[in-house]
Amino acid sequence: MSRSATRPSVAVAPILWRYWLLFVAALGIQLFLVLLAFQAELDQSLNRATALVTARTLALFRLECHAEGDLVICPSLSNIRIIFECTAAFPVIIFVAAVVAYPCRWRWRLAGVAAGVPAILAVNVLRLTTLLYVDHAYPAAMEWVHLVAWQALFVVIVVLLWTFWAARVARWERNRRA
Amino acid sequence: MREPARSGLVTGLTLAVMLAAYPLVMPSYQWAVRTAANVVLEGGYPRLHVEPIEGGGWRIFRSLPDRTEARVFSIPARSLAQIHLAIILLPALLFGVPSPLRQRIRRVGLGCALLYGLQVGLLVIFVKAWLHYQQTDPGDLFYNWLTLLHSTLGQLGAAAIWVLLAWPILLRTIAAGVAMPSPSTAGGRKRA
Repeated sequence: MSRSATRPSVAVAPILWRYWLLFVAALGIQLFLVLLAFQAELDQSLNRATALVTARTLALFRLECHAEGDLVICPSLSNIRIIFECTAAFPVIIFVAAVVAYPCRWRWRLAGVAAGVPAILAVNVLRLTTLLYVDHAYPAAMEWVHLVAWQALFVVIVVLLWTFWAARVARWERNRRA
Repeated sequence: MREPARSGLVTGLTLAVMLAAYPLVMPSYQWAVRTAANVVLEGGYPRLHVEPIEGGGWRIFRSLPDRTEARVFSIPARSLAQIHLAIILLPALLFGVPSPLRQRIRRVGLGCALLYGLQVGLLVIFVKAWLHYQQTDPGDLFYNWLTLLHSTLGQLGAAAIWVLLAWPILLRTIAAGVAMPSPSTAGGRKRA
């Protein structure tokens, strides 16, 4: 790749700054909305919903699991309490901000959010399921897997989702123009 | 779709390397953040200090004129791990951006430097805000927003720096067709 192809020219630099500012503004506004949700105690409903979906998903695989409030109880594995940070809220915030900041038509953005957010929620259920297994099989590793490995991996998955969506938008846009 | 897949693979491999290096990288990075924050906090009024505590957390305290100390607050090890997670995450995100090796390394270096500045700066602001708002109005919306921002910096800070440094390339390479859109398509608006 040539040097010029990887560096933004002077002319496009302000446009790139605009995307970045849009992204940061979208992050800030969503964080503010999360704060309002905390104050209205909406986070409790989200915690309970996440616990319920996780328990139901595990039950699909014939595991004896059920939810009690924000607790996921699996007698054969382990029990976990869902707090707000466990609800995929922050990965969703990053994804939505990146989709909103990306320069394309609003219909592509809506399609991105409509497809991406359920995908992120599904990844979160997978994350919680693996954490239950890790807590059961390797309790000493639980803290590291929970706080470090999955947190980092989750953002990488969000970025990859965004990248595939952006590439898809490019293809749609090319087809539309052709 | 070949390029996103390759980028994904490089990102994943780099993340694996960074996770393996976690026991070395994280303590050094936390020491560096604490040291720089102490330079700023010790020079201000009131004189504040950040010190590690047993278990991996930090305690923030102020020096009193009679040479005793007053505890301000503590950050537990779990919260610190999440706040500083970006030093593991960001190199993976930036190294996956398609470009020559030298540029990737330079981008990772620049990203880590920006992250370092951001985390030191926000720690200082957060400590000062804590001192001010805990005495005046702990329920203040801006203060709570700042607290939330500080606690989520590990993920959101990395994402913000990734957009800043990676999008100039990604917008050109991955989304080649609409890479740098003309003003007619930027933001989904049409030129009249």
